[in-house]
Amino acid sequence: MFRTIFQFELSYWMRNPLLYGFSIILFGLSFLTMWGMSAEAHIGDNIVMMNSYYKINNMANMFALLLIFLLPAIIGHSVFRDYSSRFYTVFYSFPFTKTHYLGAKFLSAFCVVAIIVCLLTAGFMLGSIMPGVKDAAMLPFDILNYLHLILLFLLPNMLFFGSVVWALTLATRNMYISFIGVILMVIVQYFAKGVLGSSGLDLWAAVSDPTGDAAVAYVARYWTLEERNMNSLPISGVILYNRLFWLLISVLILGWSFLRFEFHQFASVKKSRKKATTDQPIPLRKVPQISLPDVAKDYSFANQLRTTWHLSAVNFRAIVFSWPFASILLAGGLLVLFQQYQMGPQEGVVSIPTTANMLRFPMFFFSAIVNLLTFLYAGVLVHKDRLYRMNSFVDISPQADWVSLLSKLLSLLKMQLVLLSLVMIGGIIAQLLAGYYRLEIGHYLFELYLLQGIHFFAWACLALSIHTVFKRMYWGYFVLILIPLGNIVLPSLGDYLGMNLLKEPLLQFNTVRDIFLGFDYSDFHGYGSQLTTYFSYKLYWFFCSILLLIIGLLFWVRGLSFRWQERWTLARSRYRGGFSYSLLIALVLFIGTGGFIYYQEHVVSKVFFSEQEMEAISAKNEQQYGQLEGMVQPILSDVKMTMDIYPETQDFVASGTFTYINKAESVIDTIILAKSFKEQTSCSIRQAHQLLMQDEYLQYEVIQLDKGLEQGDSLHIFLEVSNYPNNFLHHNSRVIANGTYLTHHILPRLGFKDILLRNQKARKKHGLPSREFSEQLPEDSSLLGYDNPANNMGLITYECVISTSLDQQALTMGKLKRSWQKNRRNYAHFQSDGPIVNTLSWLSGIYEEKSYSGPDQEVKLYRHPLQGKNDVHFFHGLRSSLAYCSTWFGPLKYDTIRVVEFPITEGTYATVHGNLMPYSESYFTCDIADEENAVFNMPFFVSAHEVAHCWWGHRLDPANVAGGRMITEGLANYIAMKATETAYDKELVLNLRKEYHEMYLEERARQSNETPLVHSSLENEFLNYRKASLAIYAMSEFLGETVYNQALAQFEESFRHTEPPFASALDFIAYMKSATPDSLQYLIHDLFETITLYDNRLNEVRLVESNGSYTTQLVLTASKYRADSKGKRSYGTAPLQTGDLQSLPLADYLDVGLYDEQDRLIEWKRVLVTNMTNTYSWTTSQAVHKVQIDPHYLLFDVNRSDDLWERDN
Amino acid sequence: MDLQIQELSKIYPNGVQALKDVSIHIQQGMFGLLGPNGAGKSTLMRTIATLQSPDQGSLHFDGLDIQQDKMAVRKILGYLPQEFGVYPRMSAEKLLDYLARLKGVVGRQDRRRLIDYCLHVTNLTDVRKKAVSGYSGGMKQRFGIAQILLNNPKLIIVDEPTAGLDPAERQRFLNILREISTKSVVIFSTHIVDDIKDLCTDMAIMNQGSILYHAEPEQGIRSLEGQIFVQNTHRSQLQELERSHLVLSSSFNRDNSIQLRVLADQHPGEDFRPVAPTLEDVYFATLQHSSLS
Repeated sequence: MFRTIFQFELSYWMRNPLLYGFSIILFGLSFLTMWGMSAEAHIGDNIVMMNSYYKINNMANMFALLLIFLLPAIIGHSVFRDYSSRFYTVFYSFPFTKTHYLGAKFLSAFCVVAIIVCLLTAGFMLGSIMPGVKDAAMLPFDILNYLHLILLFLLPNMLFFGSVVWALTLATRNMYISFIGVILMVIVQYFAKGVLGSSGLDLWAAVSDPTGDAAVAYVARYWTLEERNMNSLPISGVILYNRLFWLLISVLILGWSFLRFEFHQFASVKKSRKKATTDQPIPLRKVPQISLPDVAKDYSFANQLRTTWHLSAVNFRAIVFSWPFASILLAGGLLVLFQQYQMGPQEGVVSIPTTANMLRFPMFFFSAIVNLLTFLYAGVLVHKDRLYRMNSFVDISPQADWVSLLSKLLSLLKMQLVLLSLVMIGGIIAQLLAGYYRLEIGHYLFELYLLQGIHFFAWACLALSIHTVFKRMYWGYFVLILIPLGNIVLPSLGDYLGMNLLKEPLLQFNTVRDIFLGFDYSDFHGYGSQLTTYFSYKLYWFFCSILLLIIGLLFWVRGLSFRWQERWTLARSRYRGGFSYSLLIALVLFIGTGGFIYYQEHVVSKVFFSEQEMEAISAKNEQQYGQLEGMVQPILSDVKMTMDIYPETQDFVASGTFTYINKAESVIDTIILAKSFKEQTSCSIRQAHQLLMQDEYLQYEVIQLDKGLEQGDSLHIFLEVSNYPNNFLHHNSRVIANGTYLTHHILPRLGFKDILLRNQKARKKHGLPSREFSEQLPEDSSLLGYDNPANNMGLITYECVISTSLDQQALTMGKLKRSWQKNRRNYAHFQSDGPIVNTLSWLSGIYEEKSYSGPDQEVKLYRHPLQGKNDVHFFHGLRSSLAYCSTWFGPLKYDTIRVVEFPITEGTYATVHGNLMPYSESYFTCDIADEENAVFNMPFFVSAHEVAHCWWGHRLDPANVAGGRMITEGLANYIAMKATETAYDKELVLNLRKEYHEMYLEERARQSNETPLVHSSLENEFLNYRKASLAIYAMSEFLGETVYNQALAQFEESFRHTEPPFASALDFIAYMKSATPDSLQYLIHDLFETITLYDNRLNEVRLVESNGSYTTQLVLTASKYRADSKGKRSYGTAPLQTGDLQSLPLADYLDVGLYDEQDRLIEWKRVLVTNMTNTYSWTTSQAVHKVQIDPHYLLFDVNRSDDLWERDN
Repeated sequence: MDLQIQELSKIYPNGVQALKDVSIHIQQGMFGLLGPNGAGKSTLMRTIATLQSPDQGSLHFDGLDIQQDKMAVRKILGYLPQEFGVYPRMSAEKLLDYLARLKGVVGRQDRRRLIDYCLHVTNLTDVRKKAVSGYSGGMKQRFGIAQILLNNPKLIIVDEPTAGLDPAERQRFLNILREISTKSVVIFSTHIVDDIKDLCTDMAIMNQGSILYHAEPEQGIRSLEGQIFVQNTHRSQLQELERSHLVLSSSFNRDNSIQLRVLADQHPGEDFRPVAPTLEDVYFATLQHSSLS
């Protein structure tokens, strides 16, 4: 019997177009992705192997997610078919056992899934050996990898999700519940991987993620590119446990459903007995007499609308008051709440639970859930009448087709609103739990019900019309899942095919340019101008939705219809009168708004450039002005200007005289004025000159001076800069209603625009020759002076009269000379008290002012009136850092320092311009626990960091070559750490270093273009900020703070405000070397000149107690290696060797920490190791419970778990 | 009040001709549509009920063109399909409210009165709060009647409603139907001849997509007066007799002999005795005729 059923089932699937549809699409996806990526693979230093096991595993698991959503249509359908056709009533009386029936059904369906899984994998295999793939990016073909993938991940995952689907379908005999079950499981998976993973419970996440993704991520978290290319995933440890655990769960689920199953009329035997209802029969002798009460009937439009509402309420209740939906609500609600409560801390800092945060954090995942449920319930609603065989009653009712469609749409929208309400409810709970009582209900309602509401409206319309067109719900669901996927695939396809149009958001259903799932919101100006963009795109998608609804209505199924041809004829017969007009109107409006938006964005707009437009500009820049590259220009030295900001109309006008001096030795007679793309600029030069070229497209003016500028000669340019006027669909100005933050980017620069196309493929596309972009290295001394155009630094004198509206305050650098009111506007005159660096900014907003008077400076803080929570930390940080820097590196000459907040929409960073420090709103919304300073204090740290830049970056301004920012950012972070240590304790900074250490190791694994610090690129933040500060801190620890800081002070003093050659990383290293004893010189080489890591281990620890003293005997293996840019290890020409382990020759100091029962450091030893294997024996007065190598996190070691020994209790 | 059907044809995509030039005129009262399974009855019923479009032909009810003006027809239409289901977890009361709303009964009070009455007539008042999906077959069929009544329909189509009902339930069901038919056109399909005999004022016999016969039941029986004969015979002689006579039906007697009913213009022989014709004879005779011609 088993064979009969099994064969019958398989042959059923072989005849089922659904199987072919799924297979072809999944195979096509994997095949094309692999082929396309391998053919377009980037060949160069950091080559990513396209068919590495790690990469295939990642891609396959992503595509397999699609299949998971389709499991109900295969595994669920295999039994559901018997119920929906009501054949089970006959079938279940046949003489077969449930082992045969269930076994054959499940195995045949699982075979079908396995076939699709194999095809999916075959797609990768075939794609990797197609013609055109770049061999350099491919590993040799290895079938084992693919088998491994199928057997270890894909099939077990399908088994787990399949068993959930199977059990639910058998238990409820209802198809859509198994769809819900899958969505629930995906929530669990996300919860395990995303939420647990990001809250420091990654080991838990690794085991509890049913797909094994988190386990893989956990194992590979520090893998470098080299390792990701070459390693295969070990079938041991976390991965093995994860796989076994979930295999066990799957078997348990299957077993449970098997035991529970009975060949019975009803799904649940117990329940069905209760359900049967009997009544009193009518006496036969009684002949009925019927006279129906007279009731009013109304078929008017208004009443049809009322009926629509009523029907939607019934459908809505049927959805919402059902346990599947309730469980989704519960799981989704918990997930949302958990995300809101956790809110992914950044660098250990938690943000205040502002309403904007509550709204933003859960949306990334939750909106996918809302979409999936919309797709599912749209199908359920469209097919509901037919599913329950109520259709004849409904279809013959005298209601127009639109009543039915609209009522279903309404119930779907109501369901979406219920789901979205979870975000509000969760948000408010999370806020109250955190003791945050600024509840902005209006903000919640506006964003969820209006902004998100119109977003999901379009998906609901699409889902309804797709489900109407497809008679089979599975097909509709499948197609719907493919559409968001298409939105992601389309742009990369456009890249691949070189078709820019495919990248156009207007062609990706329901997308809005630059707004993805969440909104930027600032307390200063709310949503700002992004709403203009949002609403204009959503209007376009609204018309699209209406169009879709009309199409749905044309194909609306009422009564019986069979073939496509018949439905088509019916649709055509419906297409007349009101139908045809409304369809045409919707079409015209849809195309009209689309065209209008396209025209605005690509033709009219001066501030928005799509990626491809920017590419074209870059290419043209290089083609037309390439010969100007490297041309030396005079340097800005004096600014006398006015800046008028108009927040009411969101405009500004800046004008003034800008003086430049030729600081290079050569004579300069050609001035290249590179103007901002986003501003209108006019300029005039006093010196006699000729205009050689004026380019409106690339915004250049090239001027020939009649008399060239000798070294030291100056050039005066009068500039007037203002924004392009704003219009209905576009905001062209950088000025915002409140919290304007303008920087020197509005001003023209002198010289060639450095917007070179660095992507070789893009260069080729635009006809540019291929070109190697190498880093400018400090070893080339010719790059350290003014002859290198990158070094456009230097000091300026600055004077500015700034004005804004009466309710706002305007600020810029310098000393406030005078402020006054005129023409109902606020004016202020600022002047720098001495030379400042040439980065400028202007701010205007409604601020609350706080100030603090220090020994040398007055510190003023301007911030949003409601954001005073962290004032004390800002002041503390500023004060501590000022004190630290003044002590070690000499006093600062500013008498006022102004910290001004700018909205989070304008950026999430802090910076220093002269004595002005613009800080992002994000630092003002950090949640710092005052009571316990165990948490990293971001406002304190940022303030300390920015203050340090007044010395490191302003007073000493290194050349803009590789390694330059390593000095300034590394030192600023080092000083901030030291200030933190002084103000709080060493423990806090140790925690921060641990955090940085982890981040450095993870980022180095991800980025895989690591250079030694001395050559770290100016843009490389993970080296400049994190690794540099760790290395500098380690130097300071080994040398002693005094010795080290004195060396720094000498370095600063000898380069303070000097003329070229500017300081470079080589100078920095030279000063460090001069202060370092010979025995520690290796540290500088290891930390700064090479990439060096340790792989130390504690092999053995033994404790001996005698007479109240405790002896710890330990064996320590020391190993050190160099890594190349890809993370490949090497051990030098004469490596040490112990067993399998190798090491560079050693003469290194290692610290070993001994801890007591309460995890307190009893003492630490610094030992000199020269061999790999070392034995030590130390006596302490307390019992040792933990031993750790490098307890202060001074060295880099990827695997620290084997550096640690803990006593078992 | 009448229904006029002209030259209706329908061919399904699989090639089956479900309706073949069907023309018929049906008047107020109860009209029985008799025919074997697969005769095209349901297709005809669904076509009248606006659920299906014919390939050719026209249907008019009281001057309304059913194909052109579906909405107008739906306002006065009551339909009980051969098989129907209901939404799960919904009580009779809630479901009827839902359907009454669909049928255009606006007032909340009106709906309540109407539903209470319909439940009363169909004797479902006691179980009105129970889920219809848990009803027994007879109760479910009565619920079907209740929903028909909601819009006080003028044209009622009932597709094989008595199949599967016990005799008492069947009788009750037919009683209600008969009562309604005094004020409307009721079209009622069945393959049980007895359903028609007593109740229907008019009837037709259908097979293979065509109307074979259309008359009042009495008239049909009268037309066979004196032409039906019976013989008790043995199985061995059956084939012989079937060849020489037009056999309408044969059935076993208790003693294992077989009773043959034959149609003949004259007395077919001495072994036969004349009997009064029944409606069943009319049905079989019509089917025989059509298969012969």
